Amino acid sequence: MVDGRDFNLQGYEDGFFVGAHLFDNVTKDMDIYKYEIFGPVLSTVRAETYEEALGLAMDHEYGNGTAIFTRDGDTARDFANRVNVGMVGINVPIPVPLAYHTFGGWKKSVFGDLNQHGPDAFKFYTRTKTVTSRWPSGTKEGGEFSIPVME
Amino acid sequence: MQKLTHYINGAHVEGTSGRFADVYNPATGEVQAKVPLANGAELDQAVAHAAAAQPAWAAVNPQRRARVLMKFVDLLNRDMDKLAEALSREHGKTLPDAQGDVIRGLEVVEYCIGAPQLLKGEFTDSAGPGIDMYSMRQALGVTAGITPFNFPAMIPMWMFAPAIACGNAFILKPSERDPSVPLMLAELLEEAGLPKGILQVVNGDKEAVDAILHHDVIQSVGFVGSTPIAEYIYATGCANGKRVQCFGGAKNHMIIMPDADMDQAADALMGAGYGAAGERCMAISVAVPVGEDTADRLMEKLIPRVEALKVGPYTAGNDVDYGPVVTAAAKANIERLVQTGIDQGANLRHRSRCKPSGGWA
Repeated sequence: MVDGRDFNLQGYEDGFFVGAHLFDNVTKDMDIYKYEIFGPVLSTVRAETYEEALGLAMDHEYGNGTAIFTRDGDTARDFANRVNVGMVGINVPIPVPLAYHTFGGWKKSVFGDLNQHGPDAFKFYTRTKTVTSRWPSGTKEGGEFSIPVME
Repeated sequence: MQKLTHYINGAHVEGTSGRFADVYNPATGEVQAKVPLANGAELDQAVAHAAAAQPAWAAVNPQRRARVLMKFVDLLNRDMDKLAEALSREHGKTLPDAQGDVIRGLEVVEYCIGAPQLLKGEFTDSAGPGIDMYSMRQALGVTAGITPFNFPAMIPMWMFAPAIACGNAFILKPSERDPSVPLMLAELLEEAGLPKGILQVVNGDKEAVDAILHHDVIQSVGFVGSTPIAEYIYATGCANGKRVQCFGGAKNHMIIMPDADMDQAADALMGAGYGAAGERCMAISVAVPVGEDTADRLMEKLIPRVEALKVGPYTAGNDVDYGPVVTAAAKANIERLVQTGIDQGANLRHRSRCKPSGGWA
């Protein structure tokens, strides 16, 4: 393998460094496809068609983020509308929503009803109290004994 | 050896459980600090302070609460370099990436400065004869969050900024891998004018997590981490009547269509796949080129870029693309999974290995 870096790691031999890995011809049944590696490892799955590519993202148990790179607006729109993933990038690889939108995945990437930050956070960290208020003019009308209904 | 603390009721407090975890410098592999692991009694103290302080904080009008957050933003900017350095030293990510970690959290704080507007309720005039109906948003009380190692500034701020803006007290149980930045954030918020007891940091592991999940006073729990733990926290928290939001794992696919700009796609995959050593829940870990020709063209672009990636310690500044992973155990797990890929027949097109001499091959 060609080493394209000239970075000297002298003195850092005991650091937890992991070299970059690039896999090609990965298939759905492989552990590197099924599990989150959380490391510098990129797996390439070759799809024959757009539908097959979409199906891969749809069938995976996780649904945090996804992206599509294309110059065709119709394909991008179709992908964004159909994919069952919470955060979608169109020619943006890491579509982390900005603070005033909300962050959250679908499927096994999330448990709960509300997303992080944005308006959802203000729902999550508050509870709603609803008050029905009436200020009678006085007691002259007397008490009501049947359940009040809207008149 | 630096001994870290909890941050309870406005003061650094030493751990009393007798249990500690090692905090590493991932770039050197050295243990640089010990972090205390709280037991239930230590959590109880924090909850008691939170419960005592919260009603007065909720009674502060939203605009004044927002002003504390405004000041906090100033202080984050003032101490940006210090925060980023502490973050990189414990997490391993590069300094520019560590600054990004702080900034993405800071942006949520900025959003929460809008609390006076965001907390406005609804009102129906004359819902019936002489009857008005209105709804208001009130604080939950004492809330808690359990945050992961990979964004030790951003994710705590995702949680505590809105919690505090809404008038809650918040107990943060950060990752025991990189707890220094969360402690610094708590100090800065107090400097910004937050009353004692409203944001506290209780360091710990599963014992502290379980104590949070079973504590009657804690009303809500937020969590970000792996899916098995997210599922456990969600189920346990819900069973105990809490409001819970949990975020777990990911396997993010990026589809590359035949008409894509292949240079742009390859560049995007470098940052999204290898940035922060892939330790992001929004990392792209699967590239899906459509068509053999697209795949071949993509590989042609990717391989030289992967070969050119620079890996090293954060102290090298901008000269590094990504740093070490967080622990030796994380490294071993990645290497184990890579080996399964080779054994199961995937085609390893590039692999950089660390040589005993300290260089790369």
